[in-house]
Amino acid sequence: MMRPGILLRLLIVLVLQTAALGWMVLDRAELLRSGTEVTLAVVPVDPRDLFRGDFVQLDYDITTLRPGMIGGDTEFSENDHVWVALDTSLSGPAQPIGIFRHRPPTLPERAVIQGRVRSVYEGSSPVDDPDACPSPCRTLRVDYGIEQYFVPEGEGRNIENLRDDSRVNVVVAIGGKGEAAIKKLLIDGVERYEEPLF
Amino acid sequence: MLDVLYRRRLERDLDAWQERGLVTPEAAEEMLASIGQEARPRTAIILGFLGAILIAFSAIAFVAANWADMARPFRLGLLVAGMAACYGIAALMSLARHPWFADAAIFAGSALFGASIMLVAQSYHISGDYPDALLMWGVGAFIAALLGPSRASLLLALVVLSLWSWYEVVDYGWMVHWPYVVAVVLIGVVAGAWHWSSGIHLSVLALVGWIVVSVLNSAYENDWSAASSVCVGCGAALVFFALGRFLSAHVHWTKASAFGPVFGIYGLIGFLAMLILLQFAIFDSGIPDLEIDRPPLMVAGVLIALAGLLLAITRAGLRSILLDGAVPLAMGIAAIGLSLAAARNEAFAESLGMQILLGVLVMVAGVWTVAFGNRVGSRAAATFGLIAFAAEVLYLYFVTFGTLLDTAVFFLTGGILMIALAAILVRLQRRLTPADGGARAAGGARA
Repeated sequence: MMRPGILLRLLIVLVLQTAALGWMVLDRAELLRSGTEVTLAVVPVDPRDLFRGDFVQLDYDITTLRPGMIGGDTEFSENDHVWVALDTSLSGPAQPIGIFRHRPPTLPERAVIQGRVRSVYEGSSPVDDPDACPSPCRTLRVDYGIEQYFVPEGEGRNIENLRDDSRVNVVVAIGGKGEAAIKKLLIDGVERYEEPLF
Repeated sequence: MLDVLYRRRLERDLDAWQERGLVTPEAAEEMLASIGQEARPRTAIILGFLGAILIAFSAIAFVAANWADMARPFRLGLLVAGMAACYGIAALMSLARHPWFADAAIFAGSALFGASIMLVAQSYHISGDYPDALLMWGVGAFIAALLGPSRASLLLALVVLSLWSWYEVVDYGWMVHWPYVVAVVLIGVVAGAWHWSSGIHLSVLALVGWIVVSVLNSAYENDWSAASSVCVGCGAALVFFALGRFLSAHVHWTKASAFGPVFGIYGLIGFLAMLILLQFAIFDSGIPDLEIDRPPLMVAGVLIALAGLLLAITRAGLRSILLDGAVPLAMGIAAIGLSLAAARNEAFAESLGMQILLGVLVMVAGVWTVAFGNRVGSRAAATFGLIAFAAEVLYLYFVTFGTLLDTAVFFLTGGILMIALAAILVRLQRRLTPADGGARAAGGARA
């Protein structure tokens, strides 16, 4: 099996694979550097991934959306790509103001984040506030690709245990196409983790 | 291990042949020496691969630990340096004529590439495009396998890309994940070009797995009945069988002919399994609904037609075509017909007549498979045909147990039919095979 050029061929493999990794890193670093900063409210829980270790599962306020209530389009099915317009003019976390099947134009004090519909369900109105969502109350669960926050082994619990009496907010960077990356984790308004570019 | 068994067998046979004067002692010596040269330091190779696998797991655990004391760029740099070291060692091993160690080192490099991807995903908290990361890993491992060359890396690519396809189907709503077929065909072509029989089997098996997942998923999404899903599976199995016959007979201009027997045997096994499953599908899983089940039954019909077409262009002469294809195609069409009949008439669907017709289907297919296996010298086909036949007889015995007299009459009729069929088959075989081919067929039957 000895052939000339084995060094060259394996060098090509190494260069291609390293270039792929480099592209992945630069793509993300660029998003963190230049994306629009938006603060979102979350509830964390703590599971573990086979390959990537401990992480905190982040359940955002904008994960659960009621299309009929917040404006935009109303007909959605599972795995649809959606764009959610966020009002960033408020002092607290950004609020969803519309969910669309196609990308809406960007306006001042408004960010647009891209997601994918994970599930759609219809149910009766909430008991405590029937006006908030008249029956049949259609609810979407949307993934934005920022639902997992990976932490050093054993640290997931510390963040999760905060949730009962603390407010956890995440600052995300949103790029031109609506793609998002986690930039900072805030606990009670104080920066707890900030992501370096590299 | 198999080499050792083969050597023992050959030694015994050569002794016997020498006694009968068929081979000279010198020739026997040379024959034994010729396989001795191909023997490899198996234990060392296995240890080498185990080492590579351990290194891969160590890298994955290292990434998962997310060790905060070491800066992220340094961690990534460490993994990339590990990749470079693996490929460097592979090149050295290859130049030093240790191809198997080179193979193991390339595998370790590809595994470290995957760990690096996971590290980047972890560093930037990427959760959305999990399948994309697996796709990138699989493509990287495939390129390494191709340029290496490395069988282990090709296997890694197959496993990783199968996981990729699985996540695309389960989490991302693909009903039939066509891109996976491209991946499996590419891997299969490489395995075929290397004459690597395990690789050929595994890529065909991967395709079988894809068909099973696709049919089950389509059935689930569209509310197909179990019976029509089984018919689609039956059609797909017949296409495999026909493709196998076609590749065996015609494709000499590429190395694809090695795929012929593999497709053929998996197709036959799948075909028999689907016919056996059909009775459970019709009796235990709900009667087909004509409105919902028309599309899948039509798909099954198209697949069987495709199989027929492939068989027709494979063999020259009407007799050979009939001998190769008539029975399985007829049984496939009968399976669709019985599913349709069950949909139209609920009383018939639950009757003993339906049960017996389905049983006859399996028995005829089983007998034909035995005959086919004997004709082409495939022991596996003959064995599976016999197993299907025996299993069906037992099954029918259990379901008709209530009336032993009926069972007796049924089996008597069956026995007479079988003997008649055997007589017909023997006559057909004699008439169709030329004199020297007859000797070969007899040899195949004994094998």
